[in-house]
Amino acid sequence: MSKRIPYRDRIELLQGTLDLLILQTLRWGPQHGYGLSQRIRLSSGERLQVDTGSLYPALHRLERQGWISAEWTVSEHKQRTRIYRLTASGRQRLTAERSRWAELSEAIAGVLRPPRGSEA
Amino acid sequence: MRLSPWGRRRRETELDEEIESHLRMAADDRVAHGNAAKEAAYAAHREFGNVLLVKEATREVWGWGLLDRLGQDLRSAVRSLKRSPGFAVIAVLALGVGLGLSTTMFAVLDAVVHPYVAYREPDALFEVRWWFGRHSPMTPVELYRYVRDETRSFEAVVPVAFDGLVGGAGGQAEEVAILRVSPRYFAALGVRPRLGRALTYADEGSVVVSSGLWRRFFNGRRSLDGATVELGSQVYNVVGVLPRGAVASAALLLLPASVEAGGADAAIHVTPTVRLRHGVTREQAKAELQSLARLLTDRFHARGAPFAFELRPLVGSRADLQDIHKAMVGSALAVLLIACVNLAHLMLARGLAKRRELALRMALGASRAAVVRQMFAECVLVTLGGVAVGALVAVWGADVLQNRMPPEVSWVGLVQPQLSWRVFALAVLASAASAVVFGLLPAIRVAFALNVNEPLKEDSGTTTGRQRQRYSPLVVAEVALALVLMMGGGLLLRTVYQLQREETVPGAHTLFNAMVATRPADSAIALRPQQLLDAVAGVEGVREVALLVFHRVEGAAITAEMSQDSARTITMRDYPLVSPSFVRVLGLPILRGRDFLPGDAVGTGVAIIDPIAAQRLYPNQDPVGKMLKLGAPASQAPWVPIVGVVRSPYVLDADGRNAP
Repeated sequence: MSKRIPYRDRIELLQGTLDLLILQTLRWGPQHGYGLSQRIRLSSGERLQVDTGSLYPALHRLERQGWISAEWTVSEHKQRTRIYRLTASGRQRLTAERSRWAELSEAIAGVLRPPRGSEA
Repeated sequence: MRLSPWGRRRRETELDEEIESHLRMAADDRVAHGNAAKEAAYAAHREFGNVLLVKEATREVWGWGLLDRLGQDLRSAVRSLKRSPGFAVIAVLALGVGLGLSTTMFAVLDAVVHPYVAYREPDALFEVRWWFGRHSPMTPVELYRYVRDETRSFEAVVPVAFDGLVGGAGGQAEEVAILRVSPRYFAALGVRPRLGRALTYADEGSVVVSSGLWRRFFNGRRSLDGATVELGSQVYNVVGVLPRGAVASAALLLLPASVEAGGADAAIHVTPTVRLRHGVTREQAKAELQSLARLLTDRFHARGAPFAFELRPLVGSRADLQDIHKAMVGSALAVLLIACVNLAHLMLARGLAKRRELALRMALGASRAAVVRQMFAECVLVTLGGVAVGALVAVWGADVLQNRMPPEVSWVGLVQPQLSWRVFALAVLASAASAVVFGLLPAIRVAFALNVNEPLKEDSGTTTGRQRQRYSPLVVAEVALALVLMMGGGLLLRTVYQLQREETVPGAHTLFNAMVATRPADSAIALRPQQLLDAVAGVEGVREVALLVFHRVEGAAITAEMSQDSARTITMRDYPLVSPSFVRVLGLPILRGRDFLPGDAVGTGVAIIDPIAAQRLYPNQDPVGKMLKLGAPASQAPWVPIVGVVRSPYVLDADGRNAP
């Protein structure tokens, strides 16, 4: 188990990126809300703080837009949970978002790249 | 994804469940990692954040955010209004009564200016009136046939005869104005019965009644089965009911077929009603009728008393707004204004009283928008309530005007006010605007005040002197309007009272009109007036008799004694010819001169005029002894000496001449 990074050091996520993370995480299989937040935190090495205040609105928004679908199932603990899974159009959206993210990070990196010969 | 309201409740509970399961799982996780159960739950909850905020954010995603907020605002507005019921009731009533009354008054005006007529293209419908000399060579029916056959301007010419009978049904009786028509009448005028059917040539024993009569006798019921009306001494089956605004008469009966076809029984006084052909103007039709008149004059050698036709619109021309109507508009507007100002005042007062509460809310974290929105919701509720009450008052007011006015003011009911929803909508807008503007003003001031603490520090409910000054123009306006309205109303009442007083002739309740109907066979006999007087005087219960006959004036004017270059005239069409006992029988007060004497009936007779005519013909002089010409200045009418001035109950300038 990785070291728990204190609450205040975790980075706040932008809304658009949260969508991306959710879609990507769901790619590995259906999950419920709590599981998603845990998995995102784990995958990021505890560096990303998923604000649950934005998680559920984001999930429902994605559901409304048709990129994920949801259904109620009974978990192994005999309790009802709502499971989300990626839809076909969600998959396409994920691909689009990933390439957009790549462009964005490339652009920002370009701004941040030190000019030749200065700042090591 | 369906966003239906039924799914909403389900989704809410599901969200609750989802969040709950999240918290449970988070707590379980912590327990698994060694925390105590209670601490785990607490920590999970804290990490989750504000559950309510999450729910609200999710709800907004569902797209219900706006409506949800409005619903909440309305609910709290209702609660707030319930806490001050006095304000709510008064505000709603003030608005409602103001709206309803002004709408009703506008409805009356609307009916006057745009009377609803159930005819097809009513502007093309006319009555043909004619004049001829004392002894007509033709009967009215023959004349009708001439108009029907010898003209080209009319798409349809139908005969119509007026009559009046006492009629009754179901225990009620009234004097029924009757129109005798041919079956072609309905198609020509484009009027169709709303119940039942029109008259056909086989309908000798049938009647088509007006909407008003149907309502009065049969309570406006839907079925015609077995409905009969007794008119005169005969019973008729009701076969049709006309729509509102169709005819001024109450019942339509069939004319004898001989009117159209030709035949013996042709002594009915019919008037042709015509519809202009498309493309024919009224002037063209008039010209054609005039040439017809000339033709008839020549044919019947009636030079001395030539024929004359007049084309009179069947539906009265749009009544110009008389002064009384303008007064009604003014008072309706004043009532509406007062209602608005009243409402504004109430809302302002309430807003000021609530300043403390609003400031408190803001201090507790409500946004400015939320505070203003809530006041807005209150204004909306008050306006809605007022509109509902206003609609009720308007509908009830129209009903009262139509059906329940006392006989003295029944002319208002004749007008059949039509509720104009345009007007109602305008009035609603006006009052809504005032409610919202003045309701929101204090809220906005509080919400955007720089110092939120100030309202909190004040004593609750009082207004500072500064505020009072700012809103006093409203008080001034309201008082001024109310005064104007009161004065206007008082003057109107005084006028009505005076009119009532002056109009009655002493002992009016003992005066009756005896209508004399001559049987067709007697029409060849010229009934001597004295015989008529004697016959009626012989009827039991009759104390005194006087005779009144209208006689046509030549040239449509009567003339006073001419001076060098000008003559005073009064335009009138007929003048009454009376028996000597007339003034005495009616008990009219003699202002100057004398009553008729038995010896006056020689020669051309004498005249008695009323004070208005006296003023017009001989201003500032004593008309007694002067001469009056019963015709236009250029006509050959005789001159008649004036022997007296008498106050007459007739609205027209009535003069009297002795019956020879």
